[in-house]
Amino acid sequence: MTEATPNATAKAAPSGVIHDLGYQGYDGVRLGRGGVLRALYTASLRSAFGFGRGAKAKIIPFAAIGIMAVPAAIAVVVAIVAKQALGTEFDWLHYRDYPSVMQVVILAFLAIQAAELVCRDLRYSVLPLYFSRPIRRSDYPLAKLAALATALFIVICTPLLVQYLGAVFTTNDGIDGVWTETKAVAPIVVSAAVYSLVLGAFGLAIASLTPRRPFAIGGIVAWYLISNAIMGVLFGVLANQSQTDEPPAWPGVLSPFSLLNGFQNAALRQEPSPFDTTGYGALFIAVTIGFLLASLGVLLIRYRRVAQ
Amino acid sequence: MNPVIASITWRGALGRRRAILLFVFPALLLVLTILLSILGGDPRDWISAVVSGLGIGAMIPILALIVGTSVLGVEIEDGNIVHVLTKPVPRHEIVITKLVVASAVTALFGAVPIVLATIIAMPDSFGTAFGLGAAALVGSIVYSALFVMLSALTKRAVPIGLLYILIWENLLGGLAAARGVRALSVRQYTTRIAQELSDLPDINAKVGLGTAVVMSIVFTVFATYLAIRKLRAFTIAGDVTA
Amino acid sequence: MSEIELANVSRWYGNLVAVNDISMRIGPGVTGLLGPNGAGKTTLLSMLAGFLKPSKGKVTVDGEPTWSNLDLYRKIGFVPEREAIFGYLTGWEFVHASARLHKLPNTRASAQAAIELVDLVEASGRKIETYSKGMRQRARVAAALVHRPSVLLLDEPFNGMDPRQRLHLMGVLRRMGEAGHTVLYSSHILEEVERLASVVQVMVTGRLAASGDFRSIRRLMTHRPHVFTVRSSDDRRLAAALVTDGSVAGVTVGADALTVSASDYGAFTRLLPQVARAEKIRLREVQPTDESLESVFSYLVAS
Repeated sequence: MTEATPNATAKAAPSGVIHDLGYQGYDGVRLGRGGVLRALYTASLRSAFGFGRGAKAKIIPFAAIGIMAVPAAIAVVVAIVAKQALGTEFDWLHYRDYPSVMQVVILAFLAIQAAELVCRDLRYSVLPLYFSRPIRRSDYPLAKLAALATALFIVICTPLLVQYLGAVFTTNDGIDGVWTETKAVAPIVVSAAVYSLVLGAFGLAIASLTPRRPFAIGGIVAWYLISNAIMGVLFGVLANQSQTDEPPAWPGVLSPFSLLNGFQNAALRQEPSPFDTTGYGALFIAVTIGFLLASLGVLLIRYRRVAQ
Repeated sequence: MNPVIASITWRGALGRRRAILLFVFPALLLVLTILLSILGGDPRDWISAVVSGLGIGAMIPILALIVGTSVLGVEIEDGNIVHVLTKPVPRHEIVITKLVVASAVTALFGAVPIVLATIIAMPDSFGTAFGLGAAALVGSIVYSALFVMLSALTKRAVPIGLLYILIWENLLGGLAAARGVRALSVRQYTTRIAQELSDLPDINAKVGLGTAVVMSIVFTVFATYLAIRKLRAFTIAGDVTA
Repeated sequence: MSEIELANVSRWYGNLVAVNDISMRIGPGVTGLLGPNGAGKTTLLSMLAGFLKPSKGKVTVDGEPTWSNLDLYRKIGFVPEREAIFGYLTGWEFVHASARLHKLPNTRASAQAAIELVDLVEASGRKIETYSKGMRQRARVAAALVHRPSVLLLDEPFNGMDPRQRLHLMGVLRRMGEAGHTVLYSSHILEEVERLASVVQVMVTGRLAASGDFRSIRRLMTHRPHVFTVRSSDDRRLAAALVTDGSVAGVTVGADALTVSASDYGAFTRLLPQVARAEKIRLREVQPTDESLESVFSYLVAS
């Protein structure tokens, strides 16, 4: 049965009209690869802190920052009280302690945000959309890594900043005091950058292996737990074996946080904390670099195949 | 126990990538054991930490979490479970079959390596090895039941399971005063059974044997019952607009 | 031969009413459940398949309620909307597993028959993850009818099929309907329903708006004038003669045809030939222009 609409049959020959709705082609400057990378970086960084995703997504990142700030705030208050009331200098936590002491918070942030950054794109198979833009295959993971590392850097530097400001505002030594504090904090800031880069690469590498967020988070946390457990076992055994109280420090390379701590001790010439890694400095530095390269390798290789 | 569902579930649990991930656990355990054996010294110094602390205490629950959530949770999330539910198969048969498969896979990748590791470290202690293996098997079953139940009840089974392992069992359970927490912690039950069935010195569980056995059974039965109940009332809702 | 019955069935989610007091009986043959997206079709089908409990009313198949009824699955086959399938099984393994789960007496023969029915024989040895979208859908249909259910429920079964595959599946369903099975499928695409279903149930925002053959539904809509396109040897004179009669609501003179709105279908169909004969005008073409499912549907949805 046909529907004959009277108007359409008025003209015998088929014809068509394209109406001018004001759409125009764009012939101007296009931003190119740099623009895409910048956009990817900014969007990922914002997403890591929950911006653009509603209020619930902001809870965890901001809670992480808050929790990171708490011990530093306490340390500042304690230092002030010690100085005013007791006239002594009291260093509860030094800058170099923070990354180790707060490792669980950093780990939680890493696991959750690494999964957040890459798993959704995998789950909904939108990678071909990204790669139909003028970017190189390696650009996507590197931009995501830059964003995650920046986010981690902000989180790790939070207590450093709090304690630094507290010390600077209450120092009695004027410009010398400020300079002393700055000299103390600067290497740790560098260390924070290294932590961010290595942990970020590692977290992204694991998260990029699965489109399911819970498994990505679980994988990162499981790695942390098990590597810590193995490290603990080795330390226990070596402590039993060695005559001295301090076991040799090499098992520390097995777990990401102790590895980076060792790197911090060795490369940035910090007093060893929380455990002594003297003598193994070169090992820690080498393994850190190797670990970073391995994580980057996994990431880059993983994103070569995009249509899945 | 339904052979068709068992076969489908088994193949799904061991599909490609997941199987590689599962192999990491036994590989890690065995490599560590071999490494420590080479270092020399009395294996009794460290074997408890490895098989009980690392193996039974960390690997079995994490393995069970991965496997337990994938036998049911992944199927529910993907929607594949409907293919099984639109058949005249009793729901308890479905749940118990999946539970058996999950326990078997967990035991295969967790309990068997524990037995092997013990034998490698102390070649003349088959009794201890199988005792530890039995404890690990119990752990496989109870943890699997727990995580299969979580998968049936919620979409967020993996994060909740992780929180349970990390915070309830390890963080809180390690605190000195937390008797109540320890009484409700599967890790304590499995550790206690390991302590009983092996003669290793350093395994220290903080619950009684009776508690461990009874609560293991209670956990398993209760978790299975809840999962069955949830599957009986499984709903598919469509998208509706006002 | 099975009959589905819904008696005053409602289903709500909090404040949102998805299905609003629907009563219908569906018997053997092919019935199409038509409605825009969000009309409640999936909710209705889920209730029929035993995966949703009605908030009110009774949903029964041959008198037995569908909720919490394990035996129901011997009689019904359900193909849900979600495209989930076990990718790691081959087509054969998937359909055969379905046969085994139904505890059929001869699982291999039944599975083979089902696969042949949906024309998936060549591909049945490959893993389903290598199938195209249409092939996956066919595999799901095969698994759903491997036990020759007397009731087959399909939620948007033609989604993602190309015209050839759609034609083929329509043929399968049509033959099943002719063989006495009760086939109910939902769609929001009019051609899919127009071509296949002998009975149409139209759902709009949770309510049943109309049931039956769409042409008869159209005729029941007396408040809307029927529109005809008429071509004749002298349109203007015919128009003038028609407009004087009470059954004609309006006449539009177009370039080469008249568009007549008749408020009384029966009276107009008698009037037109009489007027043409009296005026000695030859009628070349008379077409009811809004008796398609599309116009029926748009009238129903718009109200």
